[in-house]
Amino acid sequence: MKKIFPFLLIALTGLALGHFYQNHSSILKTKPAIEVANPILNSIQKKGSSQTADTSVSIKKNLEENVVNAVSSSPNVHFKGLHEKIADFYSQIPRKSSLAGLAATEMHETPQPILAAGRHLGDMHEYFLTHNHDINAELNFYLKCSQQKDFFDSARALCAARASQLFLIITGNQISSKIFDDRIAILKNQITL
Amino acid sequence: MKTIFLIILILLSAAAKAQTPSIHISPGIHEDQKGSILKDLENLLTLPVEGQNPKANALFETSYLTTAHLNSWLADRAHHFVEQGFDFMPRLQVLQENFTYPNLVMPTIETATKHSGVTTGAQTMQVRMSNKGASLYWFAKTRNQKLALDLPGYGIATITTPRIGLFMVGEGLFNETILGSKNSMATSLFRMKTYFHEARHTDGNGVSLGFFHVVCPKGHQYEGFSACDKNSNGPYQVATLFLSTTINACSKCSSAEKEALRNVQLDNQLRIVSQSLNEIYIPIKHKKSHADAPEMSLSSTCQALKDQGSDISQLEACKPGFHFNALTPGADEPPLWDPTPESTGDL
Repeated sequence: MKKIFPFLLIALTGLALGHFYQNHSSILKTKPAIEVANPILNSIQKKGSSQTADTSVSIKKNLEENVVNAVSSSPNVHFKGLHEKIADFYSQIPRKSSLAGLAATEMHETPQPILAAGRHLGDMHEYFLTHNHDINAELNFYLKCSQQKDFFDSARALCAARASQLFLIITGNQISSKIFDDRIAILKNQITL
Repeated sequence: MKTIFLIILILLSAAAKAQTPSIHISPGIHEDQKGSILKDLENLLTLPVEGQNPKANALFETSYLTTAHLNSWLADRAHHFVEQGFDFMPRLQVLQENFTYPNLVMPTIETATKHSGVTTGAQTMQVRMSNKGASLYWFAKTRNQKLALDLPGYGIATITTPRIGLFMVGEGLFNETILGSKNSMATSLFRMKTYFHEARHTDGNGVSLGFFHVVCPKGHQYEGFSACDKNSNGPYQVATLFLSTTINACSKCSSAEKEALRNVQLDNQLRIVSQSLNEIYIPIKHKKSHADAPEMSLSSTCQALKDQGSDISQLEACKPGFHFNALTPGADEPPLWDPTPESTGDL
């Protein structure tokens, strides 16, 4: 038994590493440089009190330049500004009218265009998490999205929930639910962000 | 000591395997699809469940919802998966005429006013899953017959209960992703949600038999389609609560995937309509994510947004003369239907 144990241990370690790689390889491969660097940038911002402001700004600037260089030199990553990103979102997100071309059986469960809308919202959410931006611009984006009557109700409600969350962060108060259409206000309260 | 440790490890992994719902998968289902289904069921074993939601506890019939409960709930209801296009008729056998069913009351099945959209030839129909067992049980009951079905790779299954758990798996179930890979945990969660939705159709008796959907009301996103529930514990609620208890706990899901799944959760939630079908269901108590902060008045909200530099001209509610027509919370709450299965048959 003692002779087998080291081999067993190696085999188990190998299995565990394989499992880890299987679960994380896609993230390791696709995570943009800016996403990896953002926590570092944020930590530098937070550590402002223990460092001189100049050093902090200088390090941050250097890092940002490195990240931008890394991103722009990568053929697979296209660095988009917020305005361009939002314009893409509005031009690409499917609208309610896209349900008209679907068969009744497809309505039984979340239809393809609504799934696609969710992917666009997921993409925007990830963008806001991984890029430095003005929080008011994010609030504006979600407020505007929640008001689009041609958007799917689920998408509008998700935007309303995000707008409510940001409004609370900015003002310390709950946004008036009357800002949203009644059914959207009701729906947005059903989700935990 | 080491030997004992090893034995315990082996036993534990065997026990974990044993908890996977044992589902007979028809040989007609493609190998890669079969692989995805089996992976989903395996993922279900490791799925963390976050937070205790009284509604979810009640629906899944437990005082404290765990992964094990979710597994056994599904295991009780899902038994056979067959492929899209599976031809039932030649495989049906009448075992007995004038068969007496335990509950003579039949459910009301509403006729959709819209049967299909304008499907063009280029589009293919994306069927994900449907519960054929409940439909066959209902069909047999309307004819007072005791039926059986010859299932390839399994044998004869008698249809004496809606809990026969016979699901037809469509190509659409595997063609969609939440984001990225078809084998990601998020996409797996999305498919699992579908299994749980269909599993609810195996429940109910008399009027609640099969938890059949109703036609969505006027003004609804799915107006005219049979894609809504007028109860608080039907398939759409099952899907909603399954997602609400698993999304935030999904450590293998990215932020973008979680957001996309929340969109699916809300799409299920909005299908739960009030009893009179005039409006969507309004819960008596709104669930507030930031309960301690006071809600601002509309005028203060508009002012605060203006102060933050928001373009409030895009907000109808901030325009002069706006009149808010509040719906009455709690009015016309959808009832809970009796989920007790009409019969457990030969199971």
